[in-house]
Amino acid sequence: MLGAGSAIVGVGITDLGPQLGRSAVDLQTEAILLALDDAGLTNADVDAVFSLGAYSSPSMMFAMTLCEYAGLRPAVQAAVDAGGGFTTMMMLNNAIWAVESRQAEVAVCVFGEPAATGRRQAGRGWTSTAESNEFEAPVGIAGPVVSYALLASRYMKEFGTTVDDLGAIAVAQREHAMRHPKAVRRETLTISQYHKSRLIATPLRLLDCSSIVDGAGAVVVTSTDRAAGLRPPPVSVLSVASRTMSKDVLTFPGFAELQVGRLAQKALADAGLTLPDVDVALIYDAFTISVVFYLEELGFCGRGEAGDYARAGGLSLGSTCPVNTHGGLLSQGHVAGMLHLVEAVEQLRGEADDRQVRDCETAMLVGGGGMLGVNAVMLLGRA
Amino acid sequence: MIPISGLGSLSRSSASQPFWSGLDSGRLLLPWCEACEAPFFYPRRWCPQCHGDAIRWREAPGRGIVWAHSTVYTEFDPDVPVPYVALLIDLEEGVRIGGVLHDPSAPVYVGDPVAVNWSKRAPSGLPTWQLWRCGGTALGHHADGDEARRDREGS
Repeated sequence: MLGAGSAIVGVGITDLGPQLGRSAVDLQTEAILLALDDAGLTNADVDAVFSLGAYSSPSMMFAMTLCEYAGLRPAVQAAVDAGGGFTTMMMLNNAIWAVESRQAEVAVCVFGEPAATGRRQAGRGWTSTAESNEFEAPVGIAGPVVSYALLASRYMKEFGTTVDDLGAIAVAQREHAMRHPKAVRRETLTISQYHKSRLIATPLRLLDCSSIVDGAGAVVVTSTDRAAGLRPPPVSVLSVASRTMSKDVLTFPGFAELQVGRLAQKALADAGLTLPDVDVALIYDAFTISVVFYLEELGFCGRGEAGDYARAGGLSLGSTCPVNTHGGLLSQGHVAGMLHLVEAVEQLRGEADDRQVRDCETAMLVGGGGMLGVNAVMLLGRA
Repeated sequence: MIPISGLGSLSRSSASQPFWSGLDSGRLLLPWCEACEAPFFYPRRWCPQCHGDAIRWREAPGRGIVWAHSTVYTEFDPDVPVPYVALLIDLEEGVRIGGVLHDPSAPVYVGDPVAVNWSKRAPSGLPTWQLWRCGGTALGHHADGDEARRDREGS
């Protein structure tokens, strides 16, 4: 079974926040070095690298540029651009395939970019050459925020979600970020402060959106045999289920049609688990509405109940399954899904300090991408 | 490839050229797959359902129902003044299209019927859309939006 012969043995996160003058390769190299150091390995050990260049400053042949800059000479390397949190899981899939097929023994997955300073310098938030954008941009559907605002307006109509419910997600995740030393938003957040934040595109306010940061994260994957001789407690992928449906909001098939609940059921069944066995959930949270959708779709709560669930402490430490214990993209910082994966590993190792979930044996990673149209559910456990 | 003014660095493809040419003559044209006898959107050289390449362009009257909406307050492009209301519209032909509401101050809800308005166009040539309710700006069409409105008010 996928993942049985490999383990994650190293994780690394750079500082998050403005870091003027640093390029994507520079940030990603630091994350790789931190992850290798964590694993007790060096650049000479690495023979597979899966990376993704900066969205804020696209460059050709990024993957090999990174290898050269970082002093890596891997047998296998590629850029993986599958979409948001989905990308992280597709990178990890590739790493597992490389290791378990013996094309490589040590694989690195890495993402990060100077998204905060880079985008300010570029002057524009988002551009895309996707075909459907020909019919979105001219009507002001400008990148992720307007797309997700449209999805949120629809979801609220279908299931009765309110802006208070969106705010409850932001508030709950902020409490977690306050416990993470590298999170960029660590000041207290109340629901009234949430309501006072700037409207970007109804119904979404600034505090419904990810925190855009400069930073990077990386993980190291190796064979279970090699992992046995390394310091960190190995963490394995137990199962994964994924589906690509659409890229843009114009082609969004509908919330039910995504069938993310079925992906979760398949991943759980393949791992021989049920939802109550999951000790911590790291849910891709590009916007608050994403978390509402996933909580309800996966069955953590009923339809339209995610706000009540969050207000009752369902996401918080001490609940049966805390959610986004690192603060997520909303409050820790947006490095696509890489830091959700890093958090899953730290929780399973028991190394999450003030954020530690007690007796954490199983983590669920939920990765969306694009405008919710690509989705994956992955289960991880102690190897 | 004709550059479009507006957001991002976009270009038009030859597969969508009839759509944009139609707008120049005030017609909303949709690509129909001859094999499926169904429209699809956005335009492609092949039907995304059956991969048939027999595509015929047919004029649509430009009526639909609001699937989603957002009033945008943040300026993403200096050429596009805010606020504006972005719409996703389910056309009566069964395809979804993006649009901008003619009057950004008009209250709009999911399920509202809208109709194309050729009098005010975006720089791209795209028409805007306006609400049509009983007692509102009647456009002479049948009020098949009543069901959507009842649905909205009943929920």
